[in-house]
Amino acid sequence: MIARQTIAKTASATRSNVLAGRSRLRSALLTLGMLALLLGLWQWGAQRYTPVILPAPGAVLGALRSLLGETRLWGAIAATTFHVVTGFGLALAIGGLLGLLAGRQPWVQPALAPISVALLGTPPIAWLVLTMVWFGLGHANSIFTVAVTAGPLVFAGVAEAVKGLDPDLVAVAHVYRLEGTARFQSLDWPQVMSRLLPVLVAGLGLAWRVAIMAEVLTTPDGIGAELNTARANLDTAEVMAWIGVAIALVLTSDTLLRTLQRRLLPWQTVASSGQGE
Amino acid sequence: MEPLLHQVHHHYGSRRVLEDISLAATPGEIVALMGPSGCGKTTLLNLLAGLLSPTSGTVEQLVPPIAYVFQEPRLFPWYTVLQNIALGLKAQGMAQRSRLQRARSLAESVGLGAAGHLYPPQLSGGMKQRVNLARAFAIQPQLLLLDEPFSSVDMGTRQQLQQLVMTWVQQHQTTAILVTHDLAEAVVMGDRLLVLSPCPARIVSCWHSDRPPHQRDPAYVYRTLSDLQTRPEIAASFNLNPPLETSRSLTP
Repeated sequence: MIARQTIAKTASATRSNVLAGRSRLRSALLTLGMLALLLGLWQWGAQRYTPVILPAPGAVLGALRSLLGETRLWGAIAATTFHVVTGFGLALAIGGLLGLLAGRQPWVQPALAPISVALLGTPPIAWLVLTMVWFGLGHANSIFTVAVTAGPLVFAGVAEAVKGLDPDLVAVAHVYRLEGTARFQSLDWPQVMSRLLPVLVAGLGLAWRVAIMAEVLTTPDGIGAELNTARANLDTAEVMAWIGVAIALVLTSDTLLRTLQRRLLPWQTVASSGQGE
Repeated sequence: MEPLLHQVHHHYGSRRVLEDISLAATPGEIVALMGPSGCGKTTLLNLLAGLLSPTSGTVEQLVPPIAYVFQEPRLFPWYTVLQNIALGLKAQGMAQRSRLQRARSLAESVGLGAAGHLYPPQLSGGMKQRVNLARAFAIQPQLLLLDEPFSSVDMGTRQQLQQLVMTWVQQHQTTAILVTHDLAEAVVMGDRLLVLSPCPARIVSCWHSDRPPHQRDPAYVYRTLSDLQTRPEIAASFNLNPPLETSRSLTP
């Protein structure tokens, strides 16, 4: 009886796999079609306007190719990565510590609430005006702006993550006598990680965008600074090539973190489509 | 008979929940506990499980392991079916290979043979309850506490799971305490039925089944059900209208 049910279940699972494969193919085709359409539109537009306003896709590709041979590309990537890593590291350290405190001590969160609201509410661009006054032009602008925008996110995420374990699961751990390191391994750590990692993924994505924006306006090196130079030279093809570099960087960091998330938290990425009984 | 509770009273603040409850059970026996909602049945199980301490009276220090099948599955979302089943074994310090091996054979026996690698969000309600049961069986408990474990699964699954528990209890000579809202379930599974009064709960009625588990066919169950429902102390405890009078008042 039960065996027969299991076989039926497996069969329906195979069927749904086939269906899922088909819909994946369809969505891939749709994406490619849309891409081709956009490139066509772009090419068409490029023929009507001057290269300063809209360079052709080929020209942008050429600019990108010549960038790949230049050392300043790697210098810019290194500088931007440095700003992101340092700024986000600061956000993690300060936001994380305060978040830990807030999760453990109930009085911390209301005490920090005004600061948190002010930081979250301030548009990142406004920080640049202040940092130019405070730090002049340099790395510090970009790093500070990243830290100050990502910090509150990390703070809220960590506070939520450590605030409390699910009391239902704690009761299970108690009944089955899960104690010490076994309990930490199977209850505390996975629960904190499952709440924390998605926040970190979102925070890091934000950090890249803010870092590049800060570089455009207030920092002499990094991708943003190169963007600004290319703009000043009216070299729109190179501007777009740099945008391409930025997209590639953000995508890479995002993919890396998501892979890490899938590896560490496989249960969060499984399809929640129940198989029914 | 092994004593479990002796003259136990329990209060939540000023609210009296349990009053003078004494309970003993024999290994291999299923004791069904019934009573109106909120009358302290879950409190009683929590006392037995050591999740609560009584206001007064004694809870026997039972030899572990004790297993508790909660009403909701309460599976660890980051663990697969097998890892969830093996949870209690991990707590006992069993090596990973052997505990997963035992989990695999238990998954097989509760009908989850093909689902060992799935995570809880991928399971249906009935499958989750099977994992919940297998997790309890895994530690080979001396005392098995069941808190309305089948109240949210369909009829067919419910029957299968009831049979699983009854067979397990017989084979392993486990003592089982089953809290249920379903009189039919109590009659099918229970070797003994204790009825609790509304708050504060006292044991107001005790009924012994005169048939061994495998002889409780539908005819017996229906007969016993109608017999029990007409008993005044049971009807009073559940606020039942006496069935005969109800039907008479409905006839024109």
